[in-house]
Amino acid sequence: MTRVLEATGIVRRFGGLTAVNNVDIHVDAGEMVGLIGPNGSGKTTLFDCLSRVQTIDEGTIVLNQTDISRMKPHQVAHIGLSRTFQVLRVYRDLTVVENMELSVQWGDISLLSSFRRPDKETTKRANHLIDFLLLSRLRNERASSLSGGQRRLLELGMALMSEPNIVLLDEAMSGVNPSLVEQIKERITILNQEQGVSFLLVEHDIRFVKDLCERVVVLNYGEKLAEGAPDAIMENDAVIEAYFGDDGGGGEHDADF
Amino acid sequence: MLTSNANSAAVKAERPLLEVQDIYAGYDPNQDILQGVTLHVNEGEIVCVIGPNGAGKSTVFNAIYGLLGVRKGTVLCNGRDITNIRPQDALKTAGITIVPQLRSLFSQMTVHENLELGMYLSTDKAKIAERIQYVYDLFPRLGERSKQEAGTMSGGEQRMLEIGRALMWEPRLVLMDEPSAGLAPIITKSIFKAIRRLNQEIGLTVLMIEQNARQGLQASHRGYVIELGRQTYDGAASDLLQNANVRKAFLGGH
Repeated sequence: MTRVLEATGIVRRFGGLTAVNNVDIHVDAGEMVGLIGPNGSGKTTLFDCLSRVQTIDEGTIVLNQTDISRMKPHQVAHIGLSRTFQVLRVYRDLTVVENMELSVQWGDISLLSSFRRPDKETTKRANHLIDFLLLSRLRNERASSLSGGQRRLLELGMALMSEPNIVLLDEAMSGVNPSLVEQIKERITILNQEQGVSFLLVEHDIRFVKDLCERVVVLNYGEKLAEGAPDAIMENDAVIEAYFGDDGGGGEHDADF
Repeated sequence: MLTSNANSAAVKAERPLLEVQDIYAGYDPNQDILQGVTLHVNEGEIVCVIGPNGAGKSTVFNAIYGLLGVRKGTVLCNGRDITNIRPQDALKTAGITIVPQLRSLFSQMTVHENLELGMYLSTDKAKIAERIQYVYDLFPRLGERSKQEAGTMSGGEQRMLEIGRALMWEPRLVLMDEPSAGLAPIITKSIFKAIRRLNQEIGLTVLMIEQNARQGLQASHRGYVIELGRQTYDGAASDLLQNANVRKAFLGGH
């Protein structure tokens, strides 16, 4: 099976804190992989490293047979990787279709691009994706009038504009009402099955990813704690204990207040 | 987990200090986040509400404290109906105060000034000075730093100052929203230790929410597990800590 994304020995430090410590993670063509972990376990930091939003201190990342370890995020988008963000990044005063059109201009930093009208192909693709994501009714609405879940769909659409073969979704389903969660899951499944798009899904809650993913990677304190099928992960004692909370470590360095 | 002992304030057999009875509340008009939550806190107890992300823990606090309208059910304090109390009245009329999850100090004001603000309801200078000394006696570290800008202290010290400020008006019940939030695990442990000490030394009654279920329960007498807006388990903290189903709930099990 073809590897779409392979990260090996990823390390990311912030001063004395090692947020991601020697993590290996890969996604094969057509695969959907879940990345879960308790609060503060390093999920988003690893995601930022993989999408090149953050630099890595050690390790290598290979995307579609190209070493992207030192590349910029927009360069990565041209080789087939897109991502969404946990904190939504849409232009609130622009319409749904305008947000979609604008997303393919990311990385094109020439002054002229700000004045250029989107070409016909871009508009056509934007409208096609809006229909696919069941947002047709909202095509010309401002993004600010969308619900949280609808904005998640819009973000997914924006990520798809560059025709990626792998999409990284950061908590695409948290804070979304249950009926829209089902809609998002269904759209992701269709993209995966009909167009072979691979997905890496970050979620705190394994329930959002267990129906979609055959394989789940669990992070804890920046390290890989477990990896396997969702059902096995949900019975994994180490994972259950990690989600239940730490015990504060040994007593030697207790500070007293 | 704690067991009642001679040092902790006597748990009275009469009515609980706080009774939350079958409350429904939510942010969206058509959706109840809390769907019938019932819990109580006895005087002198530390009670912990735990549950996975998004279960409705903070919403319970918002509803008790009047920050969010209760649509159905009642909240009683000392037997008196305080359902939908105005937040600004909670301390004055019911003796309930809250230590919020997000940093709530005035970071460019001194430790001393922050404590004074805990007594904003009073103009009695002698009384304010007395209460500040009381807090310094409980937390000598704050006394040493009384002239220091609050924002320059460590995260743990700032949390202690927030708790100290909450004690200024002699509250009967302190609501603590994730005392461990944003703190290193080793500091978290010290914070819980301090909460236990306050409970034993001055009989402080605490209802807290904790994301770190293990440490939250270890510091408490009793606990409630909330999932999807309903409590699914309750009991002695020691029992909840041993309950395999409770542990699984955090990973989204069952």
